Amino acid sequence: MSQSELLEIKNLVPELKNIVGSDYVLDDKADLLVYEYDGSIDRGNPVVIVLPQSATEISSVLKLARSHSIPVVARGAGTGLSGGAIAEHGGIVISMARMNKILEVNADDRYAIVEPGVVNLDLSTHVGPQGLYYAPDPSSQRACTIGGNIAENSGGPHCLAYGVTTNHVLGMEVVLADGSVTWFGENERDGIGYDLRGITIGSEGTLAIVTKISVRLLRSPEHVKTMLMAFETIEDASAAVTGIIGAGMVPAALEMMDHFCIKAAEEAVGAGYPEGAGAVLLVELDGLFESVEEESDEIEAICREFGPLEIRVADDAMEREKLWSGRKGVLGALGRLAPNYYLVDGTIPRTKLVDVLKQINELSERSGYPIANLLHAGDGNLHPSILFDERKPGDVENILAIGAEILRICVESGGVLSGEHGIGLEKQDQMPLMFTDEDMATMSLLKIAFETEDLLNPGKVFPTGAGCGDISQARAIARVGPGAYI
Amino acid sequence: MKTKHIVDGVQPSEGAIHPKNRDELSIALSDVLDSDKVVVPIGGATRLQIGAKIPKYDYALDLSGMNQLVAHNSADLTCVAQAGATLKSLQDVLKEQGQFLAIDAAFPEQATIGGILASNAPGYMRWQLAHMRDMVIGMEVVLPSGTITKSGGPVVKNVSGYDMARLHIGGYGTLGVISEISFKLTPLPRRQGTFILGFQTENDLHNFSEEVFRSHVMPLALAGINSEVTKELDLKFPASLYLVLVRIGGRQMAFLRQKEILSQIANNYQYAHTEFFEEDSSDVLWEKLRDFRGYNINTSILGRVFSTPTRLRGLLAHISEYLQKIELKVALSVQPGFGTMEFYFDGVSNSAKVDVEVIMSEIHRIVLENNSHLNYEQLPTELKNGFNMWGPINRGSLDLMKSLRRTYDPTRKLNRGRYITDSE
Repeated sequence: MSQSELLEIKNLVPELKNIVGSDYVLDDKADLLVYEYDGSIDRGNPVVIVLPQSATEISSVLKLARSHSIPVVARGAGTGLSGGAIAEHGGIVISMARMNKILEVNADDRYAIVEPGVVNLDLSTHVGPQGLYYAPDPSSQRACTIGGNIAENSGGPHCLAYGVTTNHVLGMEVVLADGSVTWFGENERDGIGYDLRGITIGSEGTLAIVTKISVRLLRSPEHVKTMLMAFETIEDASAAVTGIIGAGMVPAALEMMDHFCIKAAEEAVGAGYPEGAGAVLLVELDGLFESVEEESDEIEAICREFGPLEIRVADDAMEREKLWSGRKGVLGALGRLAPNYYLVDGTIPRTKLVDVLKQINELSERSGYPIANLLHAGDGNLHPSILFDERKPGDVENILAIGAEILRICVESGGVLSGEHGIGLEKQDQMPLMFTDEDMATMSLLKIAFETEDLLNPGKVFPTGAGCGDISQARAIARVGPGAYI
Repeated sequence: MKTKHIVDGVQPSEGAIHPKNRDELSIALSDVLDSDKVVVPIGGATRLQIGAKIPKYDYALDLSGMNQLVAHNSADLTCVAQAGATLKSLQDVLKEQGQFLAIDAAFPEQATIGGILASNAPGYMRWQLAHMRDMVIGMEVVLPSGTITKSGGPVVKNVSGYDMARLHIGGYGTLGVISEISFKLTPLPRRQGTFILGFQTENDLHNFSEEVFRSHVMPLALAGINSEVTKELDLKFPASLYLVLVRIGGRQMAFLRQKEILSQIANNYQYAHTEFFEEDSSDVLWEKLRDFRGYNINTSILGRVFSTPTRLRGLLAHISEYLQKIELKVALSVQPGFGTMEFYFDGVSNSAKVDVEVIMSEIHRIVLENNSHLNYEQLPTELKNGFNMWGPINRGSLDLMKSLRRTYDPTRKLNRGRYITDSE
């Protein structure tokens, strides 16, 4: 962003203050620092932050931005891992922090209308007393917002049986790039016309800014059963996953952690995972009592074919919570093993788990960088986390190259670049691994149909034009700086 | 000329094209260079009646030759099939592995999966198994220009790029022609059956359905049909105002438990009749209901209502009241848990005291007053002239839909004049 462009945006601050109130426009250097990054390794430099309270205010901000051709990035909690909330081209960041109200709960029709800044877990907590819950449960659900979940079409451990965000959104109020406000879908479960709701979910804030969301609520299950299966090797655990799915079983959750994750989780939270196991599976079933019991017996029988070291069933809610605490705390715990980790997100056909994990382990051995494998194994969604030290010269470049190689393996195995974190900045240059030029041109036409000026979250999803890996590495190095430590 | 290529009484002026694969499909579309020409993609032709009356058309693009199951990865619960494969041909193969595609559109022997998706064909299994778009994990589409393009892939979780398949499901082939689809599959329930109750009041229909909705039963389908449907389907049940059908499935003990819960709920009602059908006899019931298309295929009017479960209650009451007043014989099928309803009446030889156009408009008014939406999916061709079958839609969404149409099919080569985007 040039000096004159920067100045032009700064000059708009009084007008922005008129729209949202003077307390809710931030352009101080220290304030901007907080909005430079998200959960990814990327960083951008917004010029001004606005914190609106309504669709009307967002509409006015967008109209103003459009009249000056200023890029706008909507931001939830900034927990995204692909750089989706990064202001890559500077401009205005619209924070949804003040739009955090649960506006309506209709228990009879099982939907809730929420603002985009509502924290994911808060919704389930709010409707829990009515025997309801909101199913998508990203690991960051204590912090991430439902608006952000829509941008990335977030998943979570329990999306195996219940689906990802797009399967749970009935309708949305959106503000388009020209400032017009409309609804895509409403509270019905079907409708007429193109599925604008569906195409906007997962579009990483590049098509519209979501200002209200109607979400489906599910009935809390009668019975929940959580089991821990420990195996000597990750291959045995993977084969058990393939066996479970192949037998036509779809548990509520089917998670896998390798020995690195087990070690880190044990040290951090003491979840009670067995020492010496090469991998553990966390299997959760829910539904009717009889259904859960019948399925758990079958799953146990399948797992026994692969020589488990231990099969443990949580006796009560406290023990279930303890087993999950290891899984939920594992990412934070990886810091015990290395100063940094780079978490890769890709999905493969579930039948390819054994083969792909073998290739990832070989890559780890070849490169000398330990890779901790954390998987939503039931739906083939891998999260290999490469352990490294940002302070070591060359580490950042190396782990980015390893991450790209892992994604190449995923795509060559019939998989995809991202299961739940999105493309954002992180993987935009790897899109050609999966899509032809025609595929990407067709997708980009969609952006043109929504807005012609490319002002909503520009520079995301599609390749920048440079060679794969080059841009990512240059960006990350620029951010970290030689010898820097964060 | 095949009968199936006649749309609203109009024949294709240049005949039919029968591609066998994506490349032939691509060539077929790219070869249509004259911007005045119109192409209509046709699968099994089971839902060709939908949409505004086509003024003229030139080529029938018959996809029934693209009918291969490309891959079935049973251990991964996924499959890939060409768009012209019939639903039945697919289900037959999947069944051998104890799996199925959770889509139960009408006339599966003729209906192709591409046509089912493009026309957003309804089905009764949506209660538990959600919308059919949730079963689609990847799609290949040939654009009007002939460009072959894909999104998604054969994995069950994917956020790589825009989810383009969403646009084509319910897009009625106006943005491109679906050529291949990847699906996620569902294990067949070990046991399945249908619980039937006959009620004499609408209130009992709603109250019972709501109780099931609130219970731990997880029905595969739940529908209420009025006595007209029962009569037309020749179901030999004692007379009742509404018959409720609840389809359940699962493993042995879970199945029995659900059956027990349903019986307990039913005991709270003064029902006229109850029965339970298992396996094949249950299948037959749902097949009859699935393929029901009203009184006479040429003269029947079909309206499809989209609402919420609680709004549907008021809506049904108001519509019933109106129908009684005008003495119109109507076949009604409601899905209380899903919030949808279909109604059929004869557009030519009905018993009503008022004109058909007035009836259609009045029902539409009632639907709108109850914050719901109505689409007339089937009309006798002579009634289509000048009538907006799609019903109103909010201006912002409609403008955007028109923008999409202009972007992907600037000359409106595909299905010109039929879809909501081509309305004035």
